[in-house]
Amino acid sequence: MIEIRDIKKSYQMGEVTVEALRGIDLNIGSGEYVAILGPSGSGKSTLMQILGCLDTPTAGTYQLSGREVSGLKRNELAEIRNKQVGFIFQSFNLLAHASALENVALPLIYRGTSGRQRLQEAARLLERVGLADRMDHKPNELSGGQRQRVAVARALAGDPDLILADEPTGNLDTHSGDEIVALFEELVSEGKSVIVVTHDLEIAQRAHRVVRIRDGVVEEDTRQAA
Amino acid sequence: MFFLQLTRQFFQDMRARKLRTFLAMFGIGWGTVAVVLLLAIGGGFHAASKKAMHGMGEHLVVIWLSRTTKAYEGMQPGRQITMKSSDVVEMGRALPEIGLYSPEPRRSGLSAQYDNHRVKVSVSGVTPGYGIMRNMIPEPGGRFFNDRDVKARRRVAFIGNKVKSKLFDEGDPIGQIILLDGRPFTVIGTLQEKTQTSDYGGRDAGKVVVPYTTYTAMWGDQNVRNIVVRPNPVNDSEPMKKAIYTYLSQKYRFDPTDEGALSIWDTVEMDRFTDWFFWGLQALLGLGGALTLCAGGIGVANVMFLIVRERTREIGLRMAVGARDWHILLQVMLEAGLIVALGGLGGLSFSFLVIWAIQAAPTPEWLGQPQFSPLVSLITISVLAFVGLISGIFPARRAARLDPVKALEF
Repeated sequence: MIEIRDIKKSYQMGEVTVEALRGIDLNIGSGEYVAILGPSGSGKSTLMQILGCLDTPTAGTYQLSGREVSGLKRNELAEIRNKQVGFIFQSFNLLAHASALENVALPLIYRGTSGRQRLQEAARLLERVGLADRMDHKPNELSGGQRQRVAVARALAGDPDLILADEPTGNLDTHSGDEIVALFEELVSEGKSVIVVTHDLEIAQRAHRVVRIRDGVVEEDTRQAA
Repeated sequence: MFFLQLTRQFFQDMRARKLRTFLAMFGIGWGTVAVVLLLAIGGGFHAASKKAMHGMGEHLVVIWLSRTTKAYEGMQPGRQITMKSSDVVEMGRALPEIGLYSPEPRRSGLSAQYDNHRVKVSVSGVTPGYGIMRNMIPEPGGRFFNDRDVKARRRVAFIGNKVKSKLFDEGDPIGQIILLDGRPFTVIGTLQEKTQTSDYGGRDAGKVVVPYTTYTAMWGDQNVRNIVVRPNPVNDSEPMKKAIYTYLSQKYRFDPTDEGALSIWDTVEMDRFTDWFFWGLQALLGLGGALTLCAGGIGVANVMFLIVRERTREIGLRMAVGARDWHILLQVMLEAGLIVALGGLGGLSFSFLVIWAIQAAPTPEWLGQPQFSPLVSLITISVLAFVGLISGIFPARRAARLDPVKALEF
């Protein structure tokens, strides 16, 4: 599913060039459940942005489902994000003025799905994450755990194969965090690839594979029993 | 559905930022009022001026017979060109370039009398075409004289409205006999009051006209001082003037290049000039209004820049879930477009009210009434569309070019 070779990413910060990624190789297959673990500043977020086609690498190749994406244009990347990737953020990033239903339906707007279908699909996904009775609530009427479940439902809209989560439990209490992780396990059992970026060892240990990043390189890549 | 979503977003923004959105709309509304009112008042002024100018006549060329200024075929300069009414009619029939024609022999200071009312008038002998050329529209119940009156040399008179009020007060003059210079004439029509800002030899309101044949029979086929013609076709007087010069110079033996021999007042040309002048005035007024509207557009652009800035994170999120650049571009532009459209609508409605109020109130005649023409609304809407586009495009481009990663971290 994902094949990256010698990926590098450097930023120009005034006079200084910061090398966030110094050459990363990684293969992730379909249905894998991977945790990317590392301290802050290790480059794990940058890696996730590149994996999610939000950003492009300075050097190296990235094949997503057999397609080279490292040199694509903005709109081509947007299309991949729209159809192949679902994002979950630490701070949920829900539209404050829209209901849970509309938030989940958002990616489908950019797919050109018709209004009826969008809402049907969004309702189905909200039911699936256990929020059937919260569809018309605005984000400020929901708890943190509920908001993140709305975000998971949004990531699932349009049925992408790859789910990327950046510190998904960072703003949640333990119980709500557990619910989110449980949802991830369900998704993996359905054959989706889930990549979770975290610095929380407990979360990481529930994944099938842990990739440790430090100073922009892969320090350790271990598979563990499910 | 996408558009519906965007529209909803707009109203949410509007509620959240009432004052700011209102001020931006107000700027657009104000500019719209400026464009509409300036153009409408300019248009009314044009129409009023044209109407006043046409009070003397429309497509009218007046030619005075004058003295030669060049020696020709052994004759000294300074020779008076003389024509009689019959000569004028003969020329009018001979030249196809002339549409309508009339001699205008005139006597002024003649007494007109009805009962014991008496007034000094000027009397001219003219053709039926003269009435058309000089916009002498009869009051209902009356008429201008026609070819049969001319042929039969009927003693009929068409009198100016001032003459009428002096001789008849409020009474009905049609069919009454008046004495002109002591000779009886039947009044067949009175001039409908008209706005006339230019003339030669007095306003039409104080004149009496009779068929030129009758005039000749009464006062003799005297030399006429001037003739009145309308070109055929009406909008191009040049070929007619050339033809008249050729005709008269041959008949009266003067140099065809002698510009002093005939003195010509060409209102066709003047009309064209006036049209150009008012076109320029309209352009200037419209430009002034459009600039005001552009200032409103800058306000909208500012608001949109603020909205884009406030919504940077949201734009990042939309990009992350797959919005293409054009989705973002369209969203911002649509919002700017809606502010402009609503502001413009408000401005248009207010302008309607103002124009309606001005039309209801008395305005000076020379200024005329403001006119809300289709052209004015077309121009206004075009300018509005342009302003909406321009004020939206820059903030929209900034939004669409955001880097999703940076926008999400904003």
